Order: sequence, then C-alpha cells, then structure tokens
Amino acid sequence: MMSLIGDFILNTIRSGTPIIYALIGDLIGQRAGHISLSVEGSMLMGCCLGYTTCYYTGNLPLAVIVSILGGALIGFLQAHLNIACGANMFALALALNYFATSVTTYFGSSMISKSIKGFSKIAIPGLCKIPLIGNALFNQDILTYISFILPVLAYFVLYKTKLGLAVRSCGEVHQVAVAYGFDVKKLKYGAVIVAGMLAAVGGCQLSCAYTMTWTAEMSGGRGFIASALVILCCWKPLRAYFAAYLFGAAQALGILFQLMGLPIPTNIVNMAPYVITLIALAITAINKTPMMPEELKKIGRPLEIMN
Amino acid sequence: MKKLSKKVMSLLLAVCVLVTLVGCGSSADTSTSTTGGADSSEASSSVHPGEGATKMGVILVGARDDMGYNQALYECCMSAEDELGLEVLVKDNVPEDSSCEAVMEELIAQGCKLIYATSIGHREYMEEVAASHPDVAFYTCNSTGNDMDNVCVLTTNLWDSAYVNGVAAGLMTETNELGYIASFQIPVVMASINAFALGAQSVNPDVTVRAVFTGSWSDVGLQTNAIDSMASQNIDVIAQFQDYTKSIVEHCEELGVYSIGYHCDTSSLGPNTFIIGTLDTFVKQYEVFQAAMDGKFEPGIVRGGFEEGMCANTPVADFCPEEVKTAVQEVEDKMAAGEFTAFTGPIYKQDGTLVYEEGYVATDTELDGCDFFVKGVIGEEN
Amino acid sequence: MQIAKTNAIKKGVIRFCIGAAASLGIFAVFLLTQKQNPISVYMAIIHCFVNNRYNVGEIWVHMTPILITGMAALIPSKVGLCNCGGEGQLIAGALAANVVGVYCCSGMPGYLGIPIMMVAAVAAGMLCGAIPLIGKMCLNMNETLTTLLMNYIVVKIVAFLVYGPIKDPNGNNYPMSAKLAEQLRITSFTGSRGNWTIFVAVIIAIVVWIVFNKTELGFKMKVVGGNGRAAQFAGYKVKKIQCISFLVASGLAGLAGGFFMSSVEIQVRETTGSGYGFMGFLATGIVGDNPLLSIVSSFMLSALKACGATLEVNTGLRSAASMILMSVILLVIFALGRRKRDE
Repeated sequence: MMSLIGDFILNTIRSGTPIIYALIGDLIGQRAGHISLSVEGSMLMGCCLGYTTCYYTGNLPLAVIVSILGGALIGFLQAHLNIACGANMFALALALNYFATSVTTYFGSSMISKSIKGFSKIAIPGLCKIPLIGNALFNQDILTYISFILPVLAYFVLYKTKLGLAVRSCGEVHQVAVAYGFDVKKLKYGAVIVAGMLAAVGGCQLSCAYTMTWTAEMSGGRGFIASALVILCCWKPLRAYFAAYLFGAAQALGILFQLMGLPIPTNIVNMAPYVITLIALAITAINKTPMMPEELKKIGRPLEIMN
Repeated sequence: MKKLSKKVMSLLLAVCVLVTLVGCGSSADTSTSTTGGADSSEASSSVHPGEGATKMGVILVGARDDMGYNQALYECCMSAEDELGLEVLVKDNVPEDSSCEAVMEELIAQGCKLIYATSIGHREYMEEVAASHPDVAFYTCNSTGNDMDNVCVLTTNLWDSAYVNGVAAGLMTETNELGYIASFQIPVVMASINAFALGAQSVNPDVTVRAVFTGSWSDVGLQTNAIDSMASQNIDVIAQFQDYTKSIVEHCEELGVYSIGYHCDTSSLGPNTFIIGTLDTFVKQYEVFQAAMDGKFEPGIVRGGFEEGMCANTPVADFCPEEVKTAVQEVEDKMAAGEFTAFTGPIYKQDGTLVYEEGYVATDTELDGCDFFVKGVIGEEN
Repeated sequence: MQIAKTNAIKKGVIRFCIGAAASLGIFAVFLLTQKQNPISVYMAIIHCFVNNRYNVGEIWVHMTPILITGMAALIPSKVGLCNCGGEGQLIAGALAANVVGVYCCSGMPGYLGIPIMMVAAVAAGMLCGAIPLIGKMCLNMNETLTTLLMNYIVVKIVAFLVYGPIKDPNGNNYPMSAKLAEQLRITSFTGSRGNWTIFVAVIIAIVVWIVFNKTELGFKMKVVGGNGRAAQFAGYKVKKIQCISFLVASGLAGLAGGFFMSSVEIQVRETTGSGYGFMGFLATGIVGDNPLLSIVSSFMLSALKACGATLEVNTGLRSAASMILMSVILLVIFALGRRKRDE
C-alpha cells in the first residue's frame, strides 16, 4: 500500500512536470494579455527538436537550447501574426499547432526507432530516502528540479521586478508600462515568446527525461491543458503547483485504480481537473475578485461593427 | 428594404424546397442503384475479388517504423513486393474512424485490387468500402465473424504465443507477480492475457498477473507510468499487447525488470532483461494474397496459431537457465504438433467459477468472444 | 464609394494571389527537399478531384461540419461573445443523435427518426453551450475559456460512455457505440459519401449573411456586439439577444454533429468528430467573420483535407505532408491579414 502511494506521488510529479513548464509560460503570456494556445505546438517542437539534437550530438544543454529556439519560433509567430497582422488569437494558435504537429510528425519520423541517453536522474543523497516522497521529489532529472522552483522564480520576476510589473501592466493598464519607459508591444512579443520557450523546455523534458522516447503527437494535448489550467491558477504563479500536480494526479490515479482493482472509470478521473477548473472559475467569479487580467476580458469582442 | 428582404426570403425558401427535393431524389437514385447492385452481385458471383491484382493497398493505424505491429506489417507487405511481384502502396497513421474510408477509396482509385486494413478498428469502415467494390479483395485482422464475399479475416490465435510467454515468465519470476500492459478489453487481448496467466500457472501455480489497460495501442507516457507502478509493486516480469513496444522493453531494462516483447524481436534493446517475445509471422498472408491474385480468393476466416505457423516466439534469451529453454521448447513442440492448446480445462474465472471443465478444449469461436479473466488475473473486465 | 469598393476588391484579389503563390511556393520548396517534383504533385492533387466523384464527395463530407461550426463561431462573435466550444458542441450533437437513434428510433421510419435525431442533436449542442452561457450571464465568467474547457469535458464524457454504458454489444468489446439502423442514415449521392446536408450548410451560411446584412434583427445584433451600452440606450435587450444568439449557435454546432453522425460516422467512437469544431473556427477566423467568404474558406479547407490521402498515397510521403500544406496555407493567409488599428 505504501509503495502504491509513493508510486502515485512519483507519477503525479512526472506527469505534472511538462505541464508546469507550459503553464508558467502561458501564465506569463496571459498576464501580458495574450492567450497562447500555441504552447501545445511549442511543446511538441521542444519534444522533437530536443530528442533529435540529443540523438545526433549527445549534448544535453544543446538539446535544451535547440528546443527553446523551436518554441521561440512558434511563440514569435503567435505574437507577430496576432499583433502585427491582426489574426484571431485562437484560430492562429490552432493553425500553429497544426503546423508544429505536421512538421514534427513528418521530420521526426526517423527518430521514432532511435534511442537516446537523455537526462539521467540525480539523486540528492539522504533526502531521496525519505519514504513516500523521497523518490518523487529528490531523485529526478535536472529539468524536473528546475520545474520545482520555476513558479517561485516566475512569482519573483512578476511581482518583485520592474520588468514583471511592466508585463503585468500590459495585461491591465498600459499606461503603467509606458510610464516606466517600456514599449507595450515589445513586452507582449517578449512574453509570448517566453511562453513558447518555456513550453518547449517542458517538451524537451517529456522526451529526453521522462519517457526517453519520441513518437508523433507526443505531447498529447498537454499544452492545451496547461493553457486551460492557467485559469485554475487564478493567474497567480504560485498556484501552478496545485494546478499542474492536480492534473498529474488525475493521470496517475487512473493507473493506481487499475492496479488496486478499483472499478472507477479512468475517463471520469481524467475529467476531474477540467471540472475543477470550471468550478474554480465560477467561485472566483462569484467572489468578484479581480483576478483575470483586463486585457483578457476584451478578447473575442470585435472593436467595431463589422460589415 | 423590407419588401426586398421578403422577396429574397421567399426566393431562398423556394430554393431550399427545390434543393431538398433534388437531394431526396438523388437518395432515391441511390436506393434503386443499391438494389440494382444487389441483383448484379447475385448475377456476377463469378467475380473473383483481387484477380490479376498488380497493386496492393495497405493502411496502418500507426507509424511504419514504430518498432512494433505496424512496422512488422509494413515490412511484410514491402517484401510482398518482391515475393509476389505486387506494387504496394502504404498509408500510415490512418485513424480508426470514418476517415479511413476515404483512404481506402483513394487506394482503390489508384488501382489497388487488394486492400489490407491492418487494425481492428478499421474493420467497420472497411466493410462499407468493400460493399461497393465487389471486385476488390479486402483483408483485415483479428476480429470476429465474416459474411462478406470479398472480405477475408486473417485471425491469429495469439493466445498460443501468449501461453508460451507465460511459461517462460512463470519460470523466471522470483516474486510470483507478473504484469501485463494492454490497450482495450477486447476479446483477443483478454484471451491473450488469460493464456499468459495459464501458461505461467502451468509451471508455477502461485503466480498472479496484474493487467493494466492504457486505452491506447501506443501511448508511451501511460506505458511508462504503468511500468513504474508495476515495478514498485514487486512485479518482476512485464508482458504487453501494444503496437509500440520499444519503450516498454527499454524502460524495463532500465529498471531491471524482465520484459516480454511483442511483434518484433526487440531483444537487442533489453540485453539483460528481455526474456522472450511474440513474433508476427506472415506466411499465411503471402499464400492468401497469391491465391487472390490467381483468382482463387476465399472469403471467410483464415485462422491459426502455432500449428499453422501463423504465430511464433523469439528464442528464449541466453541469460535464462536451461530449464526455461527446454520447458518453452516442449510446449512449442506440442502446440506445433497440434497436441496441446492453451485453453484446455479445467479453467476457472477470476471469482472461482468453473467456466471450462476438465479436458474441455475451448473453441476458437468461444475465445473470440472472451470477456472474462481467469483466476489469478487482477484487472478490470470492462 | 464605387472606386473605394473596386479598390478594396482589387486589393483582396492581389492579396489572394500573393497568398496562393507564397504558400504553394513554400510547399514546393518542402517537396523539393523530399525529392518530389512539385509540379507533378500539384497536378496529382488537381487530378484527384477531376473525374473522381468519391473525392469530390469527400469535400462535401468535410465542408458541412466545418461550415456549420464556422457559423456557430461567427454568430456569437457578432454579438460580442466568443464561442470556442464548437468542437464540443458538435461532438455532443453527434453523441445525442446516435444515442437517440439507437435507443429510441430504431423502429421508426427514416422520415420520422432522422428529424427526431437532429432535434436531439440540436438540444445537446444547446445544452453544451448553455453551461458557459449561464456562467457568463450570471457570473460574468469569460466564455472563451469556459467553452474551451467544455470541449475537453465533452470528449471525456464521450470516452466514458463508449467504454461503458453505450458500448456496442456486438462490437467485439471495442470502445464504440452501436450503429444506427439503416433507415436512420442519411443516404449519400451515388458513388460518394456526399449528401444533401451540404445544401443545408450553405443555406445556413447564406441565411446568416442575410440576417446580419439585410434585416433589422441583424443590425440590432451587430450593435449589441459593437457597443453593449449603446445598444442598451437604444432599448435593445442586450442579454436576451446575446443568449438567444449563443444558444442558436451552439444548437447549430450540435446539428452539424447530428448530420455528421447520421451521414458518415454511424457510430460513436472516442475520436468522433474531433477537429471539425476547430476547423470551423479557423474557417471563419481567416475571413474575418464573413459568412459568405466562410463558404469559400470552408470549401478550401475541406478540399485540402480531402486531397490529403491522394497526396500521400501518390507521393509515398508520410501522412503529415498534407497537414504541412494546410498549415502553411493557413499561416500565409494569417500573415497577409490587415494590421490592427492602433488603439
């Protein structure tokens, strides 16, 4: 029983890690007033590029850098085509996801049968022996360790630095950013590109650390999920832990129930995070706490009467 | 303005009515043409599906290089190019929904007279296409029943091979806990899990088999999670029924857990832990394709197991003790000679009720509808 | 006025030509790197539709759900709401049509059963849309995100149902629902899977255009969408108009699902109907929410989808090649968009 629980915690952390990356990424973008559903595409690019680089060079930092570049490309297209060319944010994100899926499926096909060494686990001596959580928290790869502190870093940058204030004001009241001498447009571009980059690192972790493998459409919707979970976080970085691991837990629960022989359908379990997100949205709306960045409330409304 | 819009609306309404009538009209055409078609198919029972075929179309549910089911089939069909002199057109990543109909139609439009729909989920849609192309020979795999004149179901009694795997697993396990990663609770999978359990129990009565269903033929993330969970449950041999097998064998090697392969020989990926695996063999496929090309297509079900050479196992790994190799060889020989089948009674269900009595040999039809687990298997039945 | 109009049309045509040339050019470069001859590939794509009834029928098969879900995205955006839930609403409609068809209508003749199934599909779509709508109207929850979440929830509900309650007893224990009875299926034109639902889809788009451009109701809706306060001052019932529009839109998406189920899918699987809602959203997104142009863009997207199999079988390229073509075209179209006015 104990090992089942310890296992469940391990699987939760493992499933949640790629999601934390994409979640923090899109959170930054959303605080700047831009929803990047294309983090799914960025994550996929990260998966594929990271794996390919790892295979051909064996150089892990390089793999991370190349994935970041791939994610940045998607992020740049998302920002540019929306801000400069007026494309509808969601339609554009969908198109970018199709693009990323098709390109990675096509060019990554030769990678399916290849194996890589990937990121190995680094056990923190002593701490990794703690029952139940030791294995899950202190015997992971470097990218997972980084993901543990990522929400804190994001919190620090967003709330304790001038840059963070400017980014947040992009999503609320532009004048503050302007007053500090920042260019609102550049900030938005930057935020969305960072979103893509972080999601790509999450993808790299998925293929080079978690599963050590690459198959087509590997991200399996994790990017979309992360975008939706930003709402569950109420746009606050520190709540990312709750949201991401809630999702990881839902995935891990499915396997747990089967091994325990419990007849709870996995699909109901997998539905839980979304339903909880809806409820959380409702609760924040009832409380009328001003959580959602102002810019996001304006999305979807045409500026003038179309003909 | 209002008058104009009224006129426009009434005009549109008229167009709607007209168009709906036309639409119904063409559906009337369709219905007459299908009855006409029925007549003609009775008259033309002399149509030999696939006769004189020069091209074959193959649709795969996964990628052609997935080191598993799809790759095995892809290689089989590509070597058909040399063996049988056919041109083979392959389309991979064809999903198991209605879009596969369009793919099959396209292959037929390109001149294929043999179509091989390789995944169970393609079957329904393949039948729709087969109904409108009586001169094309259709093949599918591992599903039940067939009453179409131009469809042949190639069913492998995979449970024979699973039984052999079970024997090896039962002898190699030190904890008496075995694991099985599968996709859906469809009969062929259930029967394979049962056979695996029976094989293991025949040499080691105390083993249990835990079955986990991921709901996919190839989701690596879920496979990895399942393996991790199983490993921490003291399960030391993990078998599988998946299309994509590479990640399972590799991850088991990493964890030091014995693995059992599927479809392809992946022993190189698990030099210290890969015990044995099921191999897809395609002898029957070539026979059947050739027969169709010669005008001797036989609809119905072509099935077999060890005896007919339709499935096989990889050799037992070198690191296994001799007794394992001899035990496995014995069972394989008996099966090949037709002296023994996996499902010979007495066989009990999970809850202990007797389902096949002593000495009774379950028929293929019964196994095709297998919807229960045998005693010793822990898992959800639906 | 006339000069401005012709100029606008000229600009549009030029942009279209540039867009077409750019995307075909980019894809041609891709083809060259894969050792394919772009000219022969493009000829094969065109040839795939000439004299091939089946493939032309495939265009209609895809166009119906894409166009109708496009309308389901367009109507709410005109009244100031954003409906990203076309995907889930279509799937819910398909599910409802199948369940009602299998469990209630199997004994009925087609002319009774099919309309009942479609009503069920519309109701399911509306139900799907009602939840985010209530959230918006009563709690001011952002409907973009709630509709997106509903998509996932609907998919999981379908998955749960096909693995359990509605699993086909004759289906090999595979996760799919029972098939619809013969008489409940929308019959196709001979030689293809296309059917009369395409006419309904086009008529719906035309009606939407007429409503928005030629009727008073449409004018009211656009005012509501443009400036809610002005509409209120003008005495329009803003909430009522928004609610009805949203429900009609989600009902339409459900209807698309019902059509799709009855004409093409016949049974429900885990992945039934996936992708169409998003493609519909894309189809209207790339033409700036214009119903008539949406007919053209849906046609284009459907044709791209339909020729995918040909492209891949012909060239031996992997299955993602046609998707690359589609996404390149979409991105180029977006890149040629008008710049946003400065705020």
